[in-house]
Amino acid sequence: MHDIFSREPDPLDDLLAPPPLPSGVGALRQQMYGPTSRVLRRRRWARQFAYAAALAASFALGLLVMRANMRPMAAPLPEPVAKQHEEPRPPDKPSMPADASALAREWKAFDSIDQRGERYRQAGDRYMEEESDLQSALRCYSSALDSGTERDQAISSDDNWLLMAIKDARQKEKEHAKNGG
Amino acid sequence: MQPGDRVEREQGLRRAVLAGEECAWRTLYDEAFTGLYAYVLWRCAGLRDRADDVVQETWLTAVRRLRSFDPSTGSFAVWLRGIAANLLRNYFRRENRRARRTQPLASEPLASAAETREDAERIAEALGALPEHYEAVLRAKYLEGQSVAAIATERDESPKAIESLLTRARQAFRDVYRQSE
Repeated sequence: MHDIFSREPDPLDDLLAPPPLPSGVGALRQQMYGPTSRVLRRRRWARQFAYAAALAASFALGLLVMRANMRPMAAPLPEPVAKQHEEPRPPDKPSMPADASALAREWKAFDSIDQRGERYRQAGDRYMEEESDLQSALRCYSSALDSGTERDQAISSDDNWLLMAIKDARQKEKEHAKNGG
Repeated sequence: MQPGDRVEREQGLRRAVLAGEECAWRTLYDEAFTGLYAYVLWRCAGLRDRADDVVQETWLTAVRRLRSFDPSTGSFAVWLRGIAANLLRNYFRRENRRARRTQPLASEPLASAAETREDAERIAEALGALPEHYEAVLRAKYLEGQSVAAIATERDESPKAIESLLTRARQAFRDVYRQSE
């Protein structure tokens, strides 16, 4: 290949010739690397710091939002729980206001299906204790025994004298009927 | 290495450096250091102290602006050379302003070391004053030692066109150099 610049020397060649590299270029390379790597390290730390700050900020924001949402709900929550524990309903006792009259109790017993015997008995007790109405008490106790189980027919120490007398009379009637009398 | 491989490799290294990988930066740095230093030393006509400053500044600029490096538009070495050329241009501009402010001591005899330095500065200044395409062809010819045929192949031009370009580049350099006498 024809190359006039490779064959014809020119005084400019000396001026434009590349100067030789200094012998300590390796050391120079090592020396100049330090500041550039420090820039890189600083950038990496800044990025990590920014990431950690963003993470902390989002966590704090989440906490704030959670607290803000929980505050209005805190007051009404315990109320229904407390009520449930305060008033346990006895499963075996028919519910009736304590000051309900004997007549009201009798009507309640009349309308009820379950625990009917117990309700009539309570109505009879009320007639006896508060109104001394023996006729009504007799009616209620009789209905209580009619609605009750076989065990309810047996005389108990909890029974008052009227209920004992009714039970006793019924047992005698039964025995009499059994004996064909 | 194929151009595609080079682009892929440098893109990977660039990504790694931006992610904070110091060893990726070390790879880029080590591979390009000697070439960059040789180029800057040539542009500074062998003035080591000036070359050291410019090279150091080039690396610091490169590590700070690595995000703007696009391997698909040119290699890392070319990108670095562009930064160095800009820094050299700024350097000469500053030097010229300073020289205009100081009085020349024409009658004072110059020591030979100072004369050598002055010559080197004139060469460096003349190279810095050349248009980019003249500087590039002189660099290929003198610094990289390429033949006219090789330069023509690289630029996809005829050897005749490259010879003509080299002639004009040398003439331009000669003119600028003589003006500063």
